Amino acid sequence: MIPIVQCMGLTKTYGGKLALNQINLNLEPGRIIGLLGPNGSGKTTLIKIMNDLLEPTAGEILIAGEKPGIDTKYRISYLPERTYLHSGMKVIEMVRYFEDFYPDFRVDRAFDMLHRLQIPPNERLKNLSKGTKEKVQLILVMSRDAQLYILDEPIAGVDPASRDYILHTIVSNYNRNATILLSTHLISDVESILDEVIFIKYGNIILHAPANEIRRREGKTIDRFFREVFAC
Amino acid sequence: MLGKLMKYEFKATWKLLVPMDIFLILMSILAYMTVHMTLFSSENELIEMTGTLVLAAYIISMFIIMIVTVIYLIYRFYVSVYGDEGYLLHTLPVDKHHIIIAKVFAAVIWIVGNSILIYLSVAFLFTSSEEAMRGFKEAMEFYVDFINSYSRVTGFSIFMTIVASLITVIARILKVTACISLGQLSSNHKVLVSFGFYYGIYVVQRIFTIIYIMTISIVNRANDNRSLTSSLFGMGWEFALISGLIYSVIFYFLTWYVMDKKLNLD
Repeated sequence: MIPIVQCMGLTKTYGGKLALNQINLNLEPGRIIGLLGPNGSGKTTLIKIMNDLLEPTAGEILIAGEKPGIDTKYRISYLPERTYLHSGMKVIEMVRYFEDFYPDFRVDRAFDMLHRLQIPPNERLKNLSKGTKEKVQLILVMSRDAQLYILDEPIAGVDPASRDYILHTIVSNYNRNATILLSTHLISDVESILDEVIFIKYGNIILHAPANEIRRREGKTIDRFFREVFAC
Repeated sequence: MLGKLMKYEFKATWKLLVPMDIFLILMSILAYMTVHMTLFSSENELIEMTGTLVLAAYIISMFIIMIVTVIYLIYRFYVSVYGDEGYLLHTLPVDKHHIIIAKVFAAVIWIVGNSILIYLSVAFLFTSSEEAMRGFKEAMEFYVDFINSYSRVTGFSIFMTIVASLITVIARILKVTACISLGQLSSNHKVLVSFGFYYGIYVVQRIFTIIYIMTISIVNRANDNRSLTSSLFGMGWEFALISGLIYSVIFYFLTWYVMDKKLNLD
């Protein structure tokens, strides 16, 4: 089976400053993978390159065997850290927007999740709180039947009470053959759903292993292990 | 996908621009009534002042509408392409060329549409009294005679002038998109750098125009001893069309290059 993501010597520099250092990485289909690292470690740079939002300086990246472009954007459902919705639009208009551009978008699933989270579809986005806007974005992203979901800090702006529901939403609303790449600082909240873990530090992948194996080998939670590895 | 991009481009812009156009239509009706009832030349000072104020407000509203339209279109381009909304736009499965075409097309429609509306509004105002109509006709005849004395006005030249004007509008829109895009190459002061590029390009364009005018006037003088003024007014649509096309291609390429190869959203 072709890996959903293949990085070969992937390097990115910003004006001489190294953000990614010759990364070699293979991500297999059907896994939930945590991309973990402190601020400035290169997580967002790697995610941006996967989404064709940034050109690598050197090396190569393939998404399901293809270079990032129009075809790979059909395969990836991406949740950025930023609020990327046009604030003048209504929630329902954003649902139609996604339906128009993504053939794999499931309208009924989106409305079902909006209903469960009690988000009024006719409300304008500018009238919603930051946390609710993030929920709307997550609903839109998870309503696609994508092959790869890339979620950059999906629960950072959401209250702790909603986090469990959102994680449940993520886990229960994706195709089992798809891969979820989840970047977050809130490791303890997501640890239970992770199949694999990637630690990234100063643009280098310092660890890529199954979550269970790390817990067994180190005899501690991934959250605790992360704190030790990245201790200041 | 191009059609869908255009649909959402108009959806994102009509909410501000259509009410402004409706406001201009209302102001035109008010100005028409003011001129028709000759309120601005009334015996009563208060009525005269009101009439003058209405006409002044009408003229100012035309300028404001054109300026606000341009500023709003620039703002929308910046926010949707290089702001946070860019994260959505650039991850849609669409060609970058289609993104540029959709945005330029919508901008052309709004700018040309507003210009036509203003032209119709002014023409409508001149029909409000016979005296105004006569004045308008005389002004148009004088203008056509003036141009005719330097180069012959024909149906073809009028058509080509309209085409050249349209190309000039496209070139100016692409100039703005190119400058905003080039500004993104800077890690800090992106807006300032965009203005810098705009001014720099403006200066270069002026230099090219002056070189062209000097060359053409020297050639004309050598051939038929025409004056510089004659050369200037006899330039016609050809220069506007050719320079507009060249600038459009250059600015389009610059916009596309930054958007496709040098994208770096904050």
